[in-house]
Formats: sequence, C-alpha cells, structure tokens
Amino acid sequence: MSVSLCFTLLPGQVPEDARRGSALYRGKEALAAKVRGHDEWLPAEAVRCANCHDAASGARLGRVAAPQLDRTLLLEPRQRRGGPPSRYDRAAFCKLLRTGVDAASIVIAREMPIYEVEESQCAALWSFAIGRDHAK
Amino acid sequence: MQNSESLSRRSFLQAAVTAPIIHGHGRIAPPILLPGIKIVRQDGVSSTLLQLVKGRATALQLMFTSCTTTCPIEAAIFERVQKMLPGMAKRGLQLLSLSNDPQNDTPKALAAWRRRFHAGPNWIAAAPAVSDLAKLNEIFGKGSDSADHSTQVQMVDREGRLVWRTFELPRPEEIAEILQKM
Repeated sequence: MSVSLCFTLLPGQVPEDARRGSALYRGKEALAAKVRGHDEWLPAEAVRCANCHDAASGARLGRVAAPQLDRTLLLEPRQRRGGPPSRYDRAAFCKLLRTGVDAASIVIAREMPIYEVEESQCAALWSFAIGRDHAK
Repeated sequence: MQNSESLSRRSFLQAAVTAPIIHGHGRIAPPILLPGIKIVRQDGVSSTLLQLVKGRATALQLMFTSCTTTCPIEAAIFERVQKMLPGMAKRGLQLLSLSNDPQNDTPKALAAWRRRFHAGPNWIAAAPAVSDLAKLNEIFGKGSDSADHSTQVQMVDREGRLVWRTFELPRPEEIAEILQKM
C-alpha cells in the first residue's frame, strides 16, 4: 500500500526549496563556479547570482544587460537570433548553469560563470526563480 | 521628407554617442602609446598614466569599486596572476586596475578595494580625471553606459605602448605568460 502525502502551503509561506534557492541566489549558501575555460574556482562572493541579476543600478554583463530572473523570463517562449521560440524548464535551466548553453542552444556571454551545482541546489534555484514575478 | 531625414540623422548621432566601443583581441599594430593623462593612485599619489606604466610590463584592467558584476571576477583573475608571479617588482612587472568611475573612486575607495582582493605592492589601483574618461574609453573600449566596461586585459609594454588586448575575462595563465614575454 502506498501512502501519498500532500502538503498545503499557507498564504505567504515559501516552499522549502524556494527558500534554499533564495539563499543560494544571494550567496548565503555558497556556490562553486568558474569562468568558462578557466581552471580555478572563483571566490564565492564573486559568483553570487544576485551580483548581476539583482543589481539595482541596472547590472550589465560586459555589453549585455543581465536579466532579472523570474517566471516570465524563464517560462514564456521567446525567439533568439531568429530561431524557433524556446523556453526554460528545470533541465534547461540547470544545463545553462552548468555549461553556459541556454534553452535555445546558444552559448551565453562568458561573463556569466559556469556553476558546479548539485541537482538539489539547481532544483532550489529553479523553484526560487520561477516563484518570482517582477511584473507584479 | 526633410523631417524623416533629420530624424534619421538625429538617430544616427544618438547611436554614435551611446554606441559601445568594442575592440577585438590580439596584437595591436601599430602599438598605441598611452596618453600622459593625470591619474591618482590608491595612496593619493598623482602621476600620469604614461609615467606609471613606463619601465614596466603592465597588465591593465578596467573596473570600478562599487561594481558588483564582472569586477569581482576581474579582481579574482588578477589575484591569481599575482600568485603566479612572485617577485614582480624584480622582474619589472605590474598589474594596474584602472577605474572608469573617477567620481566615486577616491584613493580611499581604491585602497579599500585593493585590500578586499589582497593586492600586493605591484598591483596598483588608480583613477583618471572625469574629463579624460572618453579618451581612455576610446583606447581601452567600453560599453554603452557608465556601468559597463570592457573585461579585456590590456597589455602595455615597457615603453608605455598598448601592444596586446586579450579577449574578455582571460585565463590568469594567459596574462602571466604574456607579461613574462614582454
């Protein structure tokens, strides 16, 4: 016999995964990352997601503005370089973090480090990112 | 017709003003002699950019101390180069982090930034005058706004000439190798 458990979140309650994702995103839990093509790991403070994706001054990665991560950016299909529309799912998001290749199979700016993330870290970051909506 | 022409000319001029200055990487031929513009170092000492680099092979990066995005990564790269090249002074080598935010990057801010990244005596931080930024951006490349700058490393020979640009965020090993060959 199998028993399925169902947890209901109260209003305003943040899922555990998203809470951990927020800690990873802001560097409260360190992430391991390096510049693509480099051998050395970068200091944790240099690779916090929030450094670029949440900078109030309009952070830029080299010549490209770093987008604010949220459900619209990740889940809405969009065209890149004239290719077919693509959107992220968790697997595509994790692939981007680990390899620098985005959901449209385009290698993104080198200024974004590549991360050595465990599956649970990636799941937490994904949960956090798609739980945000900057339009609201 | 005249309206659309003047509109397109205006658009062109606006684009020219805000367009990023992007340089390719590799050898620079002919080399570009760095200008004798005034700069102030983290210790408050004033000199010219040319004086600062003459007589030493220099790896130069652009940065600003309040930058949270690429600058901490650039600094980590220089920190690694510094570890790879002990005795830089004896070998006539140096690292230079040049601010593109001189309004905020006072000597005190530059000194704090150096401490944060464990810069040794042969890793200098300096800022130019605001009025010289455009000239420097033309040489070293920049993006379309003040929060943007090239992450290439600029290699300057002992005569004070820019002779090589790396690609963006180069490997520390590459910087160390070029510096030692200069």
